[in-house]
Amino acid sequence: MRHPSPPRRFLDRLWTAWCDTLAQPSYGRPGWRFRILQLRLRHGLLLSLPALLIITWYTWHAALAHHRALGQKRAALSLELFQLHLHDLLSRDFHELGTRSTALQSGLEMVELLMAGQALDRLDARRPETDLEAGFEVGRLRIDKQTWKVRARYRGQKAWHYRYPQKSWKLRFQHPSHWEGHESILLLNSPDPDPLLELVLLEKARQIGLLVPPTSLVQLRLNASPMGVYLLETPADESTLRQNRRFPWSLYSGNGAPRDPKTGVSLLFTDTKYWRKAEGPLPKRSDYSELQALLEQLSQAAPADFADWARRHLDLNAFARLSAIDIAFGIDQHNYDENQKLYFDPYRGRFEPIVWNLRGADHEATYDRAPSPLMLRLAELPEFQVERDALVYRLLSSTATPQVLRAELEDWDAHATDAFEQDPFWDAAGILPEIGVYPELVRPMSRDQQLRWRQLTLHRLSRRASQLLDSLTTLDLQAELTPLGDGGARLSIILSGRTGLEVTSIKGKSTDDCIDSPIEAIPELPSQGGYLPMPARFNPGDLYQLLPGQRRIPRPAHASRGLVRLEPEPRLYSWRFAEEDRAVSAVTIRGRLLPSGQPFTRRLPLAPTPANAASTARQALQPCPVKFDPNPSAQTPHPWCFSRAAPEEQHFGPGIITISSTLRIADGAPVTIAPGTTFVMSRDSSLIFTGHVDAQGTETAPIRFVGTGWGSVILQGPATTGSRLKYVSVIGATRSKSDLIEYPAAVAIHDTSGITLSHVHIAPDSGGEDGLHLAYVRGATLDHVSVDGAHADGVDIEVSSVQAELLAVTNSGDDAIDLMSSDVRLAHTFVSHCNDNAVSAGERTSVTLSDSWLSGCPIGLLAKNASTARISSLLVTSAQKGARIEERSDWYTEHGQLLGEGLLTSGVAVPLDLRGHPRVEPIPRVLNTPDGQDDLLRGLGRKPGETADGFANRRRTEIRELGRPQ
Amino acid sequence: MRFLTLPSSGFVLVAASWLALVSFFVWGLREPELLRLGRQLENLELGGDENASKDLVRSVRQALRRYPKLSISLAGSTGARLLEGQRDGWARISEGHVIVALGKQTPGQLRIQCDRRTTIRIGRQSAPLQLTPKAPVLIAIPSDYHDGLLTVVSSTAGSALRIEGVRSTEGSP
Repeated sequence: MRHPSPPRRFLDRLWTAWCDTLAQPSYGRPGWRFRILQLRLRHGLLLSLPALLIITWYTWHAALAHHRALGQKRAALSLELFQLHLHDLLSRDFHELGTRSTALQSGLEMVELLMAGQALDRLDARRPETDLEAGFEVGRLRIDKQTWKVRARYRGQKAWHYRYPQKSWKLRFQHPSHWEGHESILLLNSPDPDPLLELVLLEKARQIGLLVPPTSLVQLRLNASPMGVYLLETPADESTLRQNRRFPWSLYSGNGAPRDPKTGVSLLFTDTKYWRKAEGPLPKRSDYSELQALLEQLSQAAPADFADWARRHLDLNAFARLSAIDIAFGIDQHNYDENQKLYFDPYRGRFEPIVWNLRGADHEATYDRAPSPLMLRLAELPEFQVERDALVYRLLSSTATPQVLRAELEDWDAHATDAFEQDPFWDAAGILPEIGVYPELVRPMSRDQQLRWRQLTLHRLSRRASQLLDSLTTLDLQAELTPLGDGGARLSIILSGRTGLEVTSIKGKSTDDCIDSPIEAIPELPSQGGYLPMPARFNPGDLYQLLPGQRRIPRPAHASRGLVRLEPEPRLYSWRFAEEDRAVSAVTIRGRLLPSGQPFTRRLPLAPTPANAASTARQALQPCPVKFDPNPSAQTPHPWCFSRAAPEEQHFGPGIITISSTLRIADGAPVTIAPGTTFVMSRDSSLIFTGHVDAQGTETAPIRFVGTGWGSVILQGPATTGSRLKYVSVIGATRSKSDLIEYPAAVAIHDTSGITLSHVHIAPDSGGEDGLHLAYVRGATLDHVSVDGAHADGVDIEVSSVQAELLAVTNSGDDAIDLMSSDVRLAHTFVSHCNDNAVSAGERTSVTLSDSWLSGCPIGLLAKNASTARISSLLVTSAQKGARIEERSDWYTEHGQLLGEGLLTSGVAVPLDLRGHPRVEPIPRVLNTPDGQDDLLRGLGRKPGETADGFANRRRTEIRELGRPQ
Repeated sequence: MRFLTLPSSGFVLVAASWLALVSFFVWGLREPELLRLGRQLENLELGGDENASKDLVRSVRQALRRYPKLSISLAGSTGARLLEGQRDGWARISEGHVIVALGKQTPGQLRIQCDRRTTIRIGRQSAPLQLTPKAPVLIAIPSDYHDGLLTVVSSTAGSALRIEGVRSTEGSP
């Protein structure tokens, strides 16, 4: 008998076991396997219940995820989408099983929020997208071992901010009232798969000088439960302005507006009612006039008018920098509908962007992925284009290449990776392409996904950089020199692509004569049916910036991306050679490429017949538009349409000149005022100079601005740099406002540098405000300047650097000298009588006072808000307090300081008033009488034998006399 | 003789429910179709010049059929995206697939450029069109291709194509 093979034996045994299992036993108790197989239904139900419950649990949660992602929308849950949500839930749970046991520790700062359970319930019951301002609940916040009492609410209108366990917060500090100078902070749940990239790009924006509110990465614990990684951002607020040395004023925020029913595009840029004024002086909180003016210009102004307005009221350089960041990294967040934050500076009279949200870096084959209506119009201005493209080139070729970004991301990884991996709610939006079912689908994240996303994003940015650099360094130029009927010739240059050309010379040469000098080239502007000569300032030898043109291309309507995008278009530039008896035979063009700076030379012989006649003719039919064409397919104006005529110098005086209404010397025209000129100003009229002012009177023939209750003498803007006012008196002026700019003083000097005032006397009208106002002035010199009887501050210096010698300020209604965020040196200063501080230094001011006398004010010297006062021989008399130094302020983290030697006080109740523990070195001496200070008083002009009081009275009288009408 | 008995309903219930749970987990953990599509597109993008596989083209076509608005996010702000991998915006292919985002009723044109003289066809049926280098042309998009994939066939081997976008011609004469 043959024995079966081992496999066969094994199969036989298996079969027997199976039969035993299924067979009812003939006797005794059935085996356990039989009993299992014959399980009763109720026991079966019980045993299957866990499996059914697990299935039900996940099914319910997958359905819930679907409805949560839908938000207000309604859509059926298909099997495919159900599997997608189930996949996310299971992946997250399996991932958590592996990582949950890790203790919470990472290189990120821990922020702890404590909220009562009922408060959280109330917050959960409210919908943040419909209840933005109300609904704060009380809680406590702990950062770096310090605790604040806060009011907290959920924040954000996008789904990822509030529909998921990891919610975004807005916290307002109550006690203490500020954190690092800010009244509130945001804890944001970033929807980005790699939020570190936004942090890197924000730093890049900061490095190129843009206004960027501070942002950092933290871990949040809510009532001891870890909530994961958050972005700690401070809102764009007054503190952001102060810390960036901007005068606190209007801050507008535009984010989300209804759609135009016709086009489906956001209405944000059509009306101020869709904007919010986040900051601004209290009486002006509801005044949107600055924004109103901007929106009107955007929608109505003709191109040349818009250019003129933009040059005065928009910080073109800052907007160009923001646009460059958006373009270089393919950011699409500053669009028709979102993330618009604009600061309006009352003394520069200009809007400046605040950078907010640099998410969504990506590459698409378009230069600017999602320009706002403002950027679309600015992109027409040649100087904006040149500035923007130069920065795009610089960023992508050196300071922010994809390799640099990768290295900086890896630096961040070193202390953020653990925190991300411990994040129990790590998720992100935009991982899956939008399929049109969910508004924003948030899906769970993992480190692998983060790295994969980073690899993809950097790959895209690398492609983008290579494409942009290629387009910015490849000159596409066609040039030809063709004869004209009258014996002259025309040079035509057609530029295509994106690379511009800065022409340094165009030299025509004739072979018919022996003259070496080149033939003059006259620029022409192509116009309907012909060419027009350009304004006279376009002479040969000037620098011409030739830029390719742009055309608006209609695109599928999109709420936040609008209806158009800009594409390059060939643009014609033309010069005519028409010198009598000299026929041009060739021309040499020299220049350099924009923005790369590569040198360029081309020599063109005279071509008998035009080779590009067709394209030249087509280009020629483009006159400068006289009104704004909002048509989506309109061509943008020729860059030369934005050219400005050179300003003509103006002369005034000598003699009497009556100014009956406000006179603005526009376009930066230089002005010379002759000695002995008197301007008789009518009530409310002002004189506004926007170019260099040379007003140098003499001791015997001073220049005078006189009247009663009139406005101000104003020097506004960078073109006034180097202006000099000597032997000038300004009597009876008040304050004024013109062209959106505030001028709160009799003499207002704004946004300039290198100004000199010498032997200037200002006696404002009693109905005015300040005497002398300097804002954003770099390097002003005041010598023998006196201000008497200002209604508010005698001298108000803001965000400026000033050196003053023999400054005298008397009888001021508020502070005598008020300093904010400035660097000021005062020597031989005399202050007599004011109603508040003789010298008030605030907002990180650094003031040096030497050999000066402050008399008759409640407080001699005040140093607050992180200001530093350095003194040397400072005498304070007849005051309640000699010097008051404040250690801390709400707005700044640094301490106030008083440094140096020689604070001398006499007749002062409290020589030194220290608030908190400011740094004071050394402790000042106290004197009984100022008479011992001979050197100091002699330096201020005391005569021999004169008492201190007698000298002070004489000085005040003399200053008062300067203001009397002559 | 022993009698074989069938398993009880209780046992069947237990077995079926736990089997269902395992299957549920296996099915749930399988990569969803949309994620697979996204991953394949990313791989294609990271891979450079690689051609789109037939499987991928089919997946994209099916996904666009199921989710017509997917074309908007895939096509981006220019309204058109070539599926095949590109270098500096150029794809060296004889047959390419362009995702086009235009409303069904919206007439539009595709802006396309090539690096050498070639003839291209949009779809299989359309008339061939001559292209000269560095001169972008606008080609009318057949309405039945809107919100879907256009096939672009080039007659010259080794020529590179660049898709610059779509423009809506709604309202244009």
